[in-house]
Amino acid sequence: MSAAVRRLTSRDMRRATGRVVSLAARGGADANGDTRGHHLGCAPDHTGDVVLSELEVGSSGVIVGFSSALRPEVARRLFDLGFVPGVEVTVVRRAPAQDPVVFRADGVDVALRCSEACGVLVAAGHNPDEFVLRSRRRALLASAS
Amino acid sequence: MRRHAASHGGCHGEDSGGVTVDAPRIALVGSPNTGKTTLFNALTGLHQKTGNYPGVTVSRAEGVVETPRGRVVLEDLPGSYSLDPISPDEKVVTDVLDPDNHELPAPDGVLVMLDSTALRRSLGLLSQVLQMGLPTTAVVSFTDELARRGGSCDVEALQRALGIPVVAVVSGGSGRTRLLELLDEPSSWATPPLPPPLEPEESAAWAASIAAAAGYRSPETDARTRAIDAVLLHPVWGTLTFAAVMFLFFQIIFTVAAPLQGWVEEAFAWLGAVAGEHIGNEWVRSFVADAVIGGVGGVLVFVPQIALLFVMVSFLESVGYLSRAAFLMDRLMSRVGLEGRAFVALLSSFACAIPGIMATRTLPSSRDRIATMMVAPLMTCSARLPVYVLLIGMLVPAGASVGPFGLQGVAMFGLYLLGAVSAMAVAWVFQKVTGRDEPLLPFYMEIPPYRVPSLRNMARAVWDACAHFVRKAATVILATAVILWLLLNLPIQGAAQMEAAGVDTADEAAVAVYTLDNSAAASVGRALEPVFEPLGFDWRINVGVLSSLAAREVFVATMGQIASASDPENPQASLEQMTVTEPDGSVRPLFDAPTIAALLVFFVYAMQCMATLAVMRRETGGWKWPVIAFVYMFALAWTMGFLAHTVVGLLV
Repeated sequence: MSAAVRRLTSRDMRRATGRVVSLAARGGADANGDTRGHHLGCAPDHTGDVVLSELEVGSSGVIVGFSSALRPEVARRLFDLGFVPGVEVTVVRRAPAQDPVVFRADGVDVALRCSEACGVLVAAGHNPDEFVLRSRRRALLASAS
Repeated sequence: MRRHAASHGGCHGEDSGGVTVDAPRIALVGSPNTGKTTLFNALTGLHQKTGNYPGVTVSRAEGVVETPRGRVVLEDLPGSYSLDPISPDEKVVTDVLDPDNHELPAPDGVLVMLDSTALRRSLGLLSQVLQMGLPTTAVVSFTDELARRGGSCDVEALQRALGIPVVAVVSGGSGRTRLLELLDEPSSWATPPLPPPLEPEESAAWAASIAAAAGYRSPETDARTRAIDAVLLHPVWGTLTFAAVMFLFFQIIFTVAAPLQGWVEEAFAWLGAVAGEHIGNEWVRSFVADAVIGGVGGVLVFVPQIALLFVMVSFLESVGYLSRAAFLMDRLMSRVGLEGRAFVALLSSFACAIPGIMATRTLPSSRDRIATMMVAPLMTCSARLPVYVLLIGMLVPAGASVGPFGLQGVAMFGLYLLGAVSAMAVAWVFQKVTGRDEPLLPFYMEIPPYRVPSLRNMARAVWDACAHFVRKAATVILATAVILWLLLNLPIQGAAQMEAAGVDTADEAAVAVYTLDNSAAASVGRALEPVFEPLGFDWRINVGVLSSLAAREVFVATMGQIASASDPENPQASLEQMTVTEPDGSVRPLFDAPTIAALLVFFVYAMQCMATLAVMRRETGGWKWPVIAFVYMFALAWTMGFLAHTVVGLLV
């Protein structure tokens, strides 16, 4: 065994989870600096960003981050399931009662309830280049302010 | 012999290993639906044992793999999406792999499943496992499906990129040979010079770069799955198909199982007769025939149903339909605080609550697991059927009908509905009472593509379930049957005593009645009279209810015995003639309408099955929940029985 191998500790994992959640900050604040509200309602509050639960069946979006109202372990679990920022997610179908919803992320179909799906922020429209452009623009804006 | 030690050591219930010490231990890790179970079954064949991890109700499967140079112990760890655990199952995986955890033996090597149809995600788990510093080999699965769906992956390039051995395993391919050779010497496995990054973004980037280095091309959406799901998950067609599948499910459980059950019953009746012929002493003969053979037979008569149930459930699961059924049912289940997967466990409880309770292991949240276990016995199990048939036969005239439906059938359906609705209501109450303590687990469920079911996996699942049921139920029911036999037949009445009481000792039936009247069980029955009097029960019904603690259907046979019925299997006529004297001196039939209604409702709710309690104890790891279940169900049964008695008394 290589001595350079680092042993995974629970502290490392918690820190990693914290990083997943802080990906919400990547979603950014809007022009007024307001971040997501405290309720886990499904209203978008980032200009230009929607939540996953709002997408129509058949449409796609690229994941930009997680809502800060989402519990850290939930964000971590979604990340591990394949809901990674930068990945394109497609809405496959909804259950007869509209909940839960099947999403396709990175080749895998996962069913999520709306209460979890509305914690995932996506940029609507599935042009990955557009996503890169937007996040660069956002980073520029953030560094300029 | 060492091989037998490996497969037998302490396998009857809770233990923490006890397998051969010097064989290398390999852990098998992977997400659900990656082909892990198939690999485990293929490598270990019949040399498997199952049990529980110490202190938690997580099932543990270990097997012995015959390698070219010896043998290896393979431990099939629970399916896990991440080493940052969200459920007890996943915590076990982390604990086993954690080098600082000394409770569980650390493996000498780890096999990580990589699903080639979802490579990047699988690589995420692999990157976490590599952090643990154990010798690791990656096993790539579903490469045939990947090719069929237009994807590709260069396994050798993947091996070079990862720096650890990578083996692609398809049935009939050469990967298995190489894997067996590797398993011999885990310390010889190549390790990467640098561990993968831990930070989530970097880890995702690492996975993407590895996939790119392996020339990975994502597969197209599985056209076959999409086409089937267009029907099976369609709002209208999907729901109809689901209803049809459920209907078929029940038909098979009850109709197809019936002849098989008949054979088992006949076999045991024959055994009882043979025992009767060859054992001289009447007391011993009764013990062997009634308690032992009757008790064991009473359990084994359910095995055909349970086996059929598991065949269907494991078929639906292997094919991939179960997650879709859970998807369709999730909304309804979440209203009462459960989730879609609980539906499968509750469905299984319609045959017998024991496999239903065992099926709750698929629920990641332990709170959901316990909630489902608490309500599973309320689903009308098939042991209640003989009781319902007898009592409904006495309550409702055979020819009566409501519109086109026979009233007896309507009554039976009503009882089933009452059980199911009550289960939902109790689950809702349970959620209200316990929901505040811990945060709810998020609901997520992978919907795998439809795959051809593996017969070997199904066979193993059915065998394990039946073996578990027989072991658990047989021991408990047998013990209870013996105790009940003792209660019903002791104290032994001497001939002189009987003659003094005016009993004709040549008349077997009269002797039996006298013995019963003066038995210990009768004393218990009389002692319980104050408790059950508001429901209209007298001591004889109390004895019948007491006997149903062994198994519910024993009630019918016991009542037959009490009524000294000429045909113990159909005691209805004799029971209808039984009378009881009220405190005010009036005489009424014992089985009048309010009493029958109370008895029926009592059987809907009461937790009588000792075997179910025993399984509950095992699955929850203690007596707390079984006791709570027993107490709340008894209270519910008594209250509802009293209500039924009062209401029907007013109506009649």
